[in-house]
Amino acid sequence: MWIHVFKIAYKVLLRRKFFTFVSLFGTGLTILVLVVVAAMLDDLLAPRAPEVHLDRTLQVSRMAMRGEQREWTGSPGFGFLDRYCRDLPHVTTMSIFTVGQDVATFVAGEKIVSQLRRTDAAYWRILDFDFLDGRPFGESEVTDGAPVAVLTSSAARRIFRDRDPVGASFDAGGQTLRVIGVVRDVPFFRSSAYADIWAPYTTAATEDYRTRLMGGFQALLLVDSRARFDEIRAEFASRLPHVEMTDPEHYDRMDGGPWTRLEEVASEVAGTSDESERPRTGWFLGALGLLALLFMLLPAINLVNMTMSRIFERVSEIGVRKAFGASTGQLVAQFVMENVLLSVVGGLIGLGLAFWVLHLINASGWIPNADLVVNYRVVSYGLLLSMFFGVLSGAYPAWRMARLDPVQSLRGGER
Amino acid sequence: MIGHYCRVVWNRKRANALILIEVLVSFLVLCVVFSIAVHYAENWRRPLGFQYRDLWSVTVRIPDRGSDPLVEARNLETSRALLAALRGSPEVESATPAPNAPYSGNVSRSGIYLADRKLVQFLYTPVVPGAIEVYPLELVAGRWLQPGDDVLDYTPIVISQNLARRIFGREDPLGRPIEEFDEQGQPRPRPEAWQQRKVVGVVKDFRKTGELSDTPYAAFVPQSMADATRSAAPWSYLVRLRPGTSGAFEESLLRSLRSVGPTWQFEIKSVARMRASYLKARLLPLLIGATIAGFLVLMVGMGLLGVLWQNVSGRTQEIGLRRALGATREQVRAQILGELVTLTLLALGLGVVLFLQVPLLGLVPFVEPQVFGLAALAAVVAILPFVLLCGLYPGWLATAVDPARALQYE
Repeated sequence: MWIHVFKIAYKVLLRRKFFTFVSLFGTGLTILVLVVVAAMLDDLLAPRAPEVHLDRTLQVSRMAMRGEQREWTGSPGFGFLDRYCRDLPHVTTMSIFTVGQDVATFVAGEKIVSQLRRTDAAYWRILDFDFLDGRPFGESEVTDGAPVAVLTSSAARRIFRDRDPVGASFDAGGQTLRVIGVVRDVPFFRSSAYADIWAPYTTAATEDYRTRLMGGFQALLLVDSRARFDEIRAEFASRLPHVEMTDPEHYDRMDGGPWTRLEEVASEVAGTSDESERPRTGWFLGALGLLALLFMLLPAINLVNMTMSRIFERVSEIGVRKAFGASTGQLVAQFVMENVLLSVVGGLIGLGLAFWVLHLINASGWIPNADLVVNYRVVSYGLLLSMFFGVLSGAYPAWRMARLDPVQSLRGGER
Repeated sequence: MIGHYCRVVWNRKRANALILIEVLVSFLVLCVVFSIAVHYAENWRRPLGFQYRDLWSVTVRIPDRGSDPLVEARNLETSRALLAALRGSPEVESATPAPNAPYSGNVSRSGIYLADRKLVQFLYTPVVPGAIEVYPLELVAGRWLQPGDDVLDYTPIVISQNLARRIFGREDPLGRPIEEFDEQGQPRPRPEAWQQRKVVGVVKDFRKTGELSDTPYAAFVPQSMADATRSAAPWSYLVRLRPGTSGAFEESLLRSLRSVGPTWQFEIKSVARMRASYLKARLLPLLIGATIAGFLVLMVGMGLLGVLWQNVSGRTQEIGLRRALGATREQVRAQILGELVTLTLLALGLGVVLFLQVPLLGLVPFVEPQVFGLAALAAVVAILPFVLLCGLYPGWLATAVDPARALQYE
């Protein structure tokens, strides 16, 4: 039965080539855009190297310090993270590191700008970097403030050209660092891992960061299980009122919390007014879904339109089949099958184009070190979306068709 | 005639409703893209008020800034030496401290309430007198800041033309104090007498936020390089280079800056390069959006073509009958196109009413209302001929109907 339905669908689609082309064009384009967006979101939110433990990591990257007159929102400071965020229950490893900072290196008069992060030793345990050469820095090097650095391979190539980087020294923003390791480039969307150069946080020019509550740092908390997230948030919140303010004249409290990547992204997009409130991820995902639906609306109406035309061209066929006892269900199956077939073929075309567009984005350097890929998750989003699209646009015409009166249809239809 | 078309359109309301929605949605998509484009184009036409070529921004990170007045005084002293070092290089024409370089995306604003309880926010830029050559700015009235302005018993302030208009209307702003009020409209004087601002000059509009952005209100006040109670140590400078200075100068400039402030960190950026990334960050999304919108509209057009084609071949008998009763080819074609135009106009009318709610309800307050009107007009102008183009082939097909064969059918 299904092979039969499939065969008819195939023949019908070949008969009206122009309609089929337009339908494939529309579906392909829609799926292309949705798959590219899905690949970007997947890259941002799914655990991918070096952020291999992203699904059980919490991050403290945005806090607010408030007073009667003033408000300071931004990254927290080392003093706050070091004094109040350590030893949270169920946190197996914690890392404190700076946000990226541009530093200049001059090679033969040419300026090379790199992103520098200063980190602790635990950073290398939470994030799994792919070392091409050398090693990360350890606890003793961090305690001593050893002027050592880990570079990405492309930063090493820019700074050292053909020379072997490990063991060599270079100038980063006026500070001489010795290279001890080279890692594979990190894509921009791996936001807590992205940088070109890493050095121990103790190599900072001055010590003033140690006491600061706000500014320049962030923390990753590796938790033994996702189920513990709420407990950790509760403990974090209970510690906030006890923070000793360094500038009590202007500020009296701090707000914020350890959030997941999804929550961070949601609060960044939606913009929160209250940092202590957990970002509404459901709202964010719902809005994304609604946007995708709205985006599909136009191609769907177009497809419905063309399916309708196709159906009314075939009223006599429907009439004959009805008169010979075909049930409504069979006919509906026929038409929905045709649309699903169209959508899936269109979806496959869209997926193929998405491969190409993602490759273009990766190669363009528009997003630094991007390695957007179409993985099995993205492919299944794409196929699911195109099936949904097919059913969405096939249901209304099929319903209209099912109500056709066979007698009218046999006469030549309602013209 | 139109009434007749309307009746025909109404008779096939189910099929036409879908076409109507399609045209309506494509119209709205085009309106959004055109609004952004028109908004950018309107902004682009206005003069920038400064020169971005051969301009460098130097950002300074001062390690220990705090409430300690002694430390602040020392920092200001180092800043003075820094400014002297910047100006001392032969490649440098002039230099000034100035917060937030143009195109950096960051601004420092000062907000005041006027007597009408409206909040006015303006770019607050403490500079030294040399700044007028650094940008350069064009003075239209009064005088620019001069040495000694930072020790007066009031704060002389130079404001942009649009800010002068906003605060003083048509009155002459020169010599007038800028009076501040609280949210209830009660006068709120500044705590110190020297903080009271008095307008001494007006410059042309200063669009530091970039060509594509709105014209911000702007004001310049003296930056004291000697008195730490009046001014904090600046954290950002602008440097006007001699034309043709090579990028290699950056390294030697950095070295001389580091010798002045060994514990301070410096970052030098070319404003022209920041402009390039500013433009890219705004135009690239617009380009992507326009491409997608273009494909969507193309798809709708092809769909429309297909549906009309189908429609015409479904109405062979009707058309044949009309031809047999003496209608000419032109009349038949006018019939098909007339129906299409009626339907399109209906959709566009609905779309315009819907879209003009955006400025009417003030949903995007920072964009001038006429931008939306212009965008809607552009979308109508783009869609109408496009839809007609899609109707041409089906229309021609209809005229090719042979009345004798069409009527033979039944």
